[in-house]
Amino acid sequence: MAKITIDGREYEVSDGLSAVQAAAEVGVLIPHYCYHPALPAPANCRMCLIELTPPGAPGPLRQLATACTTRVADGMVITTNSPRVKRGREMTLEFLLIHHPLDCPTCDEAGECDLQDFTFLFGPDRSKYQEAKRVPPRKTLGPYVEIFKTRCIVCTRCVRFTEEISGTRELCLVNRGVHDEIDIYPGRELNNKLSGNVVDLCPVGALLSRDFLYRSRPWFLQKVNSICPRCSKGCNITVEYRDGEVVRLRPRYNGEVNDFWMCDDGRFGYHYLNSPQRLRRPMVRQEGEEPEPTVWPQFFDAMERAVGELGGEQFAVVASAWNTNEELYLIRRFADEVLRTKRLGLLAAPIGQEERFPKFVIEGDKNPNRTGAQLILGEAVSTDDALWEMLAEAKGALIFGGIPELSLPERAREILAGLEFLAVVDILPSELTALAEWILPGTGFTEKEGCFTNSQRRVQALERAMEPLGNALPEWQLLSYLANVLGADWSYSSVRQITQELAETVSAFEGATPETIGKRGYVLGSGPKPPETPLKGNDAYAAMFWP
Amino acid sequence: MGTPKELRILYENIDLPGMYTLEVYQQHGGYKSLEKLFEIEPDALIEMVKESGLRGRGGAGFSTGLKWSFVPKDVEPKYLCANADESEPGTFSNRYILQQKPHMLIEGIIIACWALGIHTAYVYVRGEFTLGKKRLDAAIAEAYQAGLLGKNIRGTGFDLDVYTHPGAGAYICGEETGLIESLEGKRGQPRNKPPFPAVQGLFMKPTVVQNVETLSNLPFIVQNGVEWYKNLGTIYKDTPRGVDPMNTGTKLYCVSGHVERPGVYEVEMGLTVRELIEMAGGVRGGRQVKAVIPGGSSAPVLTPYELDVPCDFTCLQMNKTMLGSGGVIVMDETVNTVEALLNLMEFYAHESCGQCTPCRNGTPWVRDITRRIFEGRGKPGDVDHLIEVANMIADVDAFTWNTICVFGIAVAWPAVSFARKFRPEFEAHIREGRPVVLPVEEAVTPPEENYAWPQTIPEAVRRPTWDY
Amino acid sequence: MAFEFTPDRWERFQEILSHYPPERKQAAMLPTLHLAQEQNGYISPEVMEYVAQLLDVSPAQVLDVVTFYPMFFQEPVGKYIVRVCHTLPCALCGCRKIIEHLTEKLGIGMEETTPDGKFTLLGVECLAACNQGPVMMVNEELYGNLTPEKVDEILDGLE
Repeated sequence: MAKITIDGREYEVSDGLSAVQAAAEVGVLIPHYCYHPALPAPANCRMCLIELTPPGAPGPLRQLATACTTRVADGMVITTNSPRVKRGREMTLEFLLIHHPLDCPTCDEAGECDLQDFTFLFGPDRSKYQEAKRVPPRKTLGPYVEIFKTRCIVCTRCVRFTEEISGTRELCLVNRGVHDEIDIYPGRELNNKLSGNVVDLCPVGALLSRDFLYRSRPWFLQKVNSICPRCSKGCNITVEYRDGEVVRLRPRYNGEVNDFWMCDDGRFGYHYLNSPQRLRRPMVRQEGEEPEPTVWPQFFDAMERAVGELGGEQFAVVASAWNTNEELYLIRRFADEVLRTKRLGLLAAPIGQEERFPKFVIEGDKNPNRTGAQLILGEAVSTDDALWEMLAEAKGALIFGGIPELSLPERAREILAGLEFLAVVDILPSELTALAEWILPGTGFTEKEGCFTNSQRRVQALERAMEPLGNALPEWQLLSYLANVLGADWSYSSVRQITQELAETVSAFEGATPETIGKRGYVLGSGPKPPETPLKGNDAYAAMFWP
Repeated sequence: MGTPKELRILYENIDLPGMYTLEVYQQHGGYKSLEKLFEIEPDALIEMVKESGLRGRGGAGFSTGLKWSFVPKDVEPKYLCANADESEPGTFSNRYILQQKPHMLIEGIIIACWALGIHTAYVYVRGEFTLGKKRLDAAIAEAYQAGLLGKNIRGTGFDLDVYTHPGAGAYICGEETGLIESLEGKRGQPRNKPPFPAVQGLFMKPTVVQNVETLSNLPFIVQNGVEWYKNLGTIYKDTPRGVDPMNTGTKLYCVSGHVERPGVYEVEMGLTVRELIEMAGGVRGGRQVKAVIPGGSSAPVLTPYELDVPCDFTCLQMNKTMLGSGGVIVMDETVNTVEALLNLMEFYAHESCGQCTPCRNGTPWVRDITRRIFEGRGKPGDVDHLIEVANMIADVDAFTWNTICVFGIAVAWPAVSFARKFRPEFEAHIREGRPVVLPVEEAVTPPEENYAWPQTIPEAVRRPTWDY
Repeated sequence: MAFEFTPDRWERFQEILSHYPPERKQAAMLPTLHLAQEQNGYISPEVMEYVAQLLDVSPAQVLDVVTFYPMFFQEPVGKYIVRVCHTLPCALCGCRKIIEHLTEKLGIGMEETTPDGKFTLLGVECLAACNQGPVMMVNEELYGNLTPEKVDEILDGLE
């Protein structure tokens, strides 16, 4: 810890921090644009000016210093609110604004724009500029990113991201001086799998998401914390939604999982949730006909009949690697205790390509919770080819899908078609539902609570953004009803209760209670969680400056 | 006290045919310093250079020996970059060293590298210096052939490689960290300091960047000794805190503009601006001086009232301008000072690297205001507006700037000094709505209203006698 | 059309590369671009991609550098590049008259190339030969103390 003084008050801050981070730790905001703790600091925006007295110096340096390039050290004195600092910031803002258009009313960034916010907080209330403004063109940089060059303040965060984090180096500066522009090499695209992060990094409305473009003013969005389901990494994200639709996913800082980033597969891979095709009510298919809408009790009755006729042990229950820990736990109990069947399977999206970048890895396992499934269902659970062999021996099956874009092998479709009873819980019409007698609407990851266990055995929580669609039932409720129809006596009233029970009854999950999981997650086997301390380092930075 | 005279040391025999060849250079005493050099312990050499009072000739005038003493001994490799990116308007002395006496530069490089334990040196040569680079490349090849460069120089076990590296037309690469970035194959965008290059420079290794003229002084210091060197130039006593009193050695003054005989004049430091103009044959056609820029285009302009300031680092600094690169641009009574400032602001707006906000956006802003005034589209209050905006890039009175490098102050200095010192001519443009050239007496702000007066000239401990 | 160095330039490139630490190939950027421009006349996209590959950088990084330095051309230029200095010391010595004369004589504006591809006229910043102002460079050659007559003599003497 370093003892420093900020604005006349003494604090203890973590070692090795920039003055921007250190100030954030103690709740003092130092405005900045080009600086980002995950990138090298070029100190080009000249916004984070401070008055600095190095340790042991008799008084402040003659020149203002940049907080971003100042490493805190014992005895350092920093002033962020003196007239000199205020004047310095004001001048920087005045310079930044001379070519910046006043198009906030049509700019997506408005409302979450650092230029807007810091101008409001620290800027001059009028401009002295009387000369012509530059009007460089708007341009599409890649599949997901658009640049509005008029708004760019040339902080080069985006360029540095492609150098340091993605290592793909598609972006560069072109020209010189006031003609500087961010650009790509002619004929190429900003199309690396991490490209969407430059939109988050852009402190102004220059780099915008083409996916989000003009879809909503940010202040109309509601937000919950969640976990990206697109691979086993478990990137911490924020789900932003409006009027029952997911509008945008953005990464949440977690230094032990995804830092400040997420990949484009995750970021833009949410559209299936908003699909008009989404299953909204239970359907039943009579032999050879199109499915017809029905109601839940009809299904419960049918299931009860089928179990009676075929015998519970002839039933297979297939969970999905997209199910939450809590759902998997109930599936396991349902198979073991209610149906008393050994036929337990796990459906998963096929293993894809692991993609490595200098400072980010997209994992090859395209399922969010294979680790949780293996821990809860047991290593012996039938999966992949063994899954279909197991189903070939069964007479009836209850299958949980919920895996977008899942495609089945030919052999699997034959086997499923041969079952006497097939109920599928899914969120969209799929190759599974095409074969099912009972098609049951489940919930997408934004419509449920629960946890995923990532490949590093970190249990992380999803918060529910929206109600289940139409008559869809959260899977834990569906399983509870079904269990009780089949004679059990389950009395779960919340997902939290299941999380707690899982932690108490499955040894691998010991300690993974709702309290320990919290916002940051709990690594299985890591013992008691140390008591919460005030946010430090990048966590404090992210809390102040990151979405 | 006699009349100031030229004293050619660096420029001795510079016009001699073939001086750029090893043979002719050696016939005239070239590389003699090496006979003594390898007898001197590197640390002692650093002390010698410090003691000599040699100050960087590139613009900042920082003590060369002091800079060397910051270089860590235990980090390898270290680099030397010779700055031959001479681009400051009004400066042209390095050009002729490269073209006519490239071996003198190589000799200086060998000395610096010996002192600092450096085994690789790059000479960053301005892209437009085609002849100079050709001659320097040839000289380097000759030096390798003669065993003056390469492995085990003169049997001392000391290795040194010297390479030239061409620039490509960017003024900012003359800034030492801009030069380093450019040498690394990037845009020449200056770095934040600290860390200074002496600690973390080229390829993140300790690096000393030194101007061609500075390095060219070294052979003479080594050969003739510190005392000899300190007996050249002017040394002051009791200078204010932060003002280095040393102005030892000769300076290559580049006199251009409205003088009868523009050229490079090598003189002991200590003569006044007026004397320097006289040396260059006086103002062309016997006209009146209107303005003089004493140290390259970045230096604040002087008025006819300020011509008796000695042209050295100390006095020019104390009179709120600078010796800079020694580029003296003389303007006579026919000059429109607004147009002259516009010309400079066009230059700076073109050359701003664009990296940091105040300079990127401020420099063209100042240019645009100046242009408006010059073209007769100025409004009342625009002169103050011009001064205010320029002072936002760098505050010339407080001598502080919020830019990454000193380019910011290099913009603000001419802008503020022209506007303040020639305010009547600027105001006349606004009043009349067209370009106006006022007679000198009317164009200049009266001394009593000008912030730069009165002149302060400290007492000298040593002054040139000019008795040679 | 893919670009590659001629055998002799390839050798020069290898020599250039040897001046820098092996892990700092990018440092050879400016000399390599000069060499490529000498061969190709200007830095075309093919040249940028070639240089990027030689120096282990992305084409965007080459573009970044090329657009920063005025000596690199991104479009074809004339056989003779006429660079006239227009900075203050030369302006004081009457470079405007020389520029007017050049534009009139060549029938083109600044930053333009004659239709026959013979001359490209550029206004440049200080060439560091202020004692000879007004000055211009024609390709690698510097000419000072220019008068319109002297300009005629120089340009008329070119093939």
